[in-house]
Amino acid sequence: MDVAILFGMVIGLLAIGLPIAVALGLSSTLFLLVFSDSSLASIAQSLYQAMAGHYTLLAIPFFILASSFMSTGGVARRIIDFAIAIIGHVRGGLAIAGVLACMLFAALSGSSPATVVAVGSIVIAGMVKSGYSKDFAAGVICNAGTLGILIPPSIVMVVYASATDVSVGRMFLAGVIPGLLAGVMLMITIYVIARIKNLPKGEWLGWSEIFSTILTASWGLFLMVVILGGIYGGVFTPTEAAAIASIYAFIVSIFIYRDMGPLKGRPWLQAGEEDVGLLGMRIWGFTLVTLILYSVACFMLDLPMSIAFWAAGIFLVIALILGALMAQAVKDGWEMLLAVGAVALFGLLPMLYGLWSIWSSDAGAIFQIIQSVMAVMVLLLPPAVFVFAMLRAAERLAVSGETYDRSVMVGATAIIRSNFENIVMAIPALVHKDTKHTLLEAGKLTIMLMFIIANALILKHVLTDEQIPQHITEAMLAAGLGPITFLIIVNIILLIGGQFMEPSGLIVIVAPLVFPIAIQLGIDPIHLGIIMVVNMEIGMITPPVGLNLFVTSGVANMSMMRVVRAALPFLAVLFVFLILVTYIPWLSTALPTAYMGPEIITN
Amino acid sequence: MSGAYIPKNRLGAIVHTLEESLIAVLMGLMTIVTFINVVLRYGFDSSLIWGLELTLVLFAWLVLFGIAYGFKVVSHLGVDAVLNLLKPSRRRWLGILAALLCIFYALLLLKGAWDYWAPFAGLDATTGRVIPGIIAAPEGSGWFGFMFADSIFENSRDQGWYETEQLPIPFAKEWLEATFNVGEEYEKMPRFVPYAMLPFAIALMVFRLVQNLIRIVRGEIDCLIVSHEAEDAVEEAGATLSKET
Repeated sequence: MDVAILFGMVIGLLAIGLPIAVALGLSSTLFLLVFSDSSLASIAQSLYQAMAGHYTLLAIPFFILASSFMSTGGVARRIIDFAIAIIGHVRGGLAIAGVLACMLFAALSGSSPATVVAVGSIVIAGMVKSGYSKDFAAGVICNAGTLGILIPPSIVMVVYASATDVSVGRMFLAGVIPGLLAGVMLMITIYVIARIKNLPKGEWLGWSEIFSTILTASWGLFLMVVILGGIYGGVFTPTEAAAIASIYAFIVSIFIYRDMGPLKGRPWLQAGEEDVGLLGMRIWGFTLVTLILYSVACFMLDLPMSIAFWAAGIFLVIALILGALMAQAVKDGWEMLLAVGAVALFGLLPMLYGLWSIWSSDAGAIFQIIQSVMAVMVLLLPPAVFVFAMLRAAERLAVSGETYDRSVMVGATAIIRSNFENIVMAIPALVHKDTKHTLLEAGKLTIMLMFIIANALILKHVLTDEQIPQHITEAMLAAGLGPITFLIIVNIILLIGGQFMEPSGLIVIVAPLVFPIAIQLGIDPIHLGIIMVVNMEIGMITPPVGLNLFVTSGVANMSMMRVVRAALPFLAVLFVFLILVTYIPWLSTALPTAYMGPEIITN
Repeated sequence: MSGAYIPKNRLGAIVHTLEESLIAVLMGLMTIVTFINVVLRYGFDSSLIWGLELTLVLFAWLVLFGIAYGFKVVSHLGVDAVLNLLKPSRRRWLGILAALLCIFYALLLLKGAWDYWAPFAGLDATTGRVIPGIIAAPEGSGWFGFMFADSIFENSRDQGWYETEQLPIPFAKEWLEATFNVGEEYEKMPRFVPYAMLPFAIALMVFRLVQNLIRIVRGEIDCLIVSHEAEDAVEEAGATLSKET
């Protein structure tokens, strides 16, 4: 009864327009003053400790900062180019590419609205230009953007992990298969609609365009390797991974892409040199990156530095020879043959060897699949990207009509000049106004989220002090509730709650209520977490408080109600997806179990 | 409305820049300290032993200090579905009511923050559970069971000797020792220093909320909330989109 008053008060205060954080905090404070003997000092203390006492939550500001740098730093645009090059040529291709871009951006950022803003502000305009209706475009992006919290990293997962003491690493891994599944389901739906409605399709831009766009996007996409590789390689904690991700995003957007900061408008190749210098610059650039990667590896593994220099040297020789051959081949017309041959030699053979050794070992099937995917990514992809990027650059060289020697010279000067600029501008970049602006925006978002979470934590204390979770558990178990009915109830509560509350705050409040029951009923905590995240996704695209709806209506310049209608068909897809995730625990638990061993429940 | 805050005068502009710079600096420092610690761990087999604690303190400072800023630029998230159904005049009354409730919340927290912080700084906490100076009366006396205490402040036990776990004292060590620890030596930063942000930030929040109340009464803003989290980016993106199409 008391608790009914508490929740009634929260809803009432929300309705008259109090900020969510104050509605939660004021209700719980009054409740504590009336029904318990806690002091105001202890409430102030828990407000402070919400930040200073939660190491896991510390990941939130860092993930927010990384995605701020990503969205202002032009990473989104390059990812979209890549997605269009891959799939833009099928019917409805631009829409499918939009979903793919959202999935990729989701793998770099932890928030859904950020994903919608980053991808939507470019893709929706592009779709309208190529003949899609604005409603269709907005509906697609609005839904695909929700993948931001399902595909790791994810702020909502960090909050769930912190609220229930499960491992953040497990939650992140658990999101991978459902995230891919949801993305594929959306893509298939779009494709079917596109076939029926005969939506426009783009042109096939060629393999060299695909690999060329991968190359430019790879600076951003490498962040995935840093975050996930770092966490699962045991190199750093999720919080540290997030901090490193923000530093990396800062470096890429200011010094590499140069879309913001003091070097904005000073490209690596100066005007007039773009065609001539590209081949040379790619040769030298690849060598430099090889040197850096090997140096970092040697440093971490305590190997002598000379290995890195040898590796870079050998690489340079191969690259110079391949470049010369490629420049010649483009003139004589056998460049495709050369490219395919080089990819087969440097990529395909090592990959086949890798696959052979994986499948002849006796690891578990899921583990073998994971390793095979890794083998393709690590052994085949980089050589292929390298060779086709060289091919692209050689074609540009042929257009300019200059010689290969000159290209190598121009490329070398460009690399030296640009890195000199980077070193000179390193300190000014830290205090540049773009940097400050990005830090401030990330700070504002952190403050807003953490103010809600801190107050939700006070409410959580009230609930646990009153032993509400225990009462609910007893009542539900006494009513003979099975796991399936329980999960339906959880879904309904979260769907309703998700329409009125900010996802992180809702998770802080609901997770401790349903978690003990789930454990009693033998439901995997990781599975429960993914169900909650998917519910939050749906909450973000249902009115009245759908954050994604709001952001999309702003990005697309449409009224909120029009976005709601536009999002409906795809919302149905997400509902089907929610049912799949709820009743097939394997989707969520397979990957974490295969990689980190079965979950040990300690409660 | 968020981000569109324009200071009215010179002093306002200076304070606004200071607030924004402090938020940016706290955010940047947190990131850099964490990053340096990872580099030190792998590169040099050492670490700043106080790095983690410092980062957590900066995190708490960032959020606490930023709450008041968030009220100033009206960036806190809320539900405006009900408000949008109402006539503007009614909305204004509700806005005033909401502001008053927020001030009430902030005042409760202010007392709590002072009571929590004061003993650590060797000062006295206030008496009473909710309102300073008003305490529960003995059975059968007082007003509705409450009465005035002898003083607003109680005689709290001095806890100035409590230290943080690892934070070093960068400067002003002698002064801190003489003022807050009866001249005895501090090995680590005393706790009241990081905790000082709590009463300061909440006092600032009370101030901003009172300002907001005045702004609502004058009709400059109509409510305390914004109902989504990415308005600036959205407006920019929307603007470029309408230019392109």
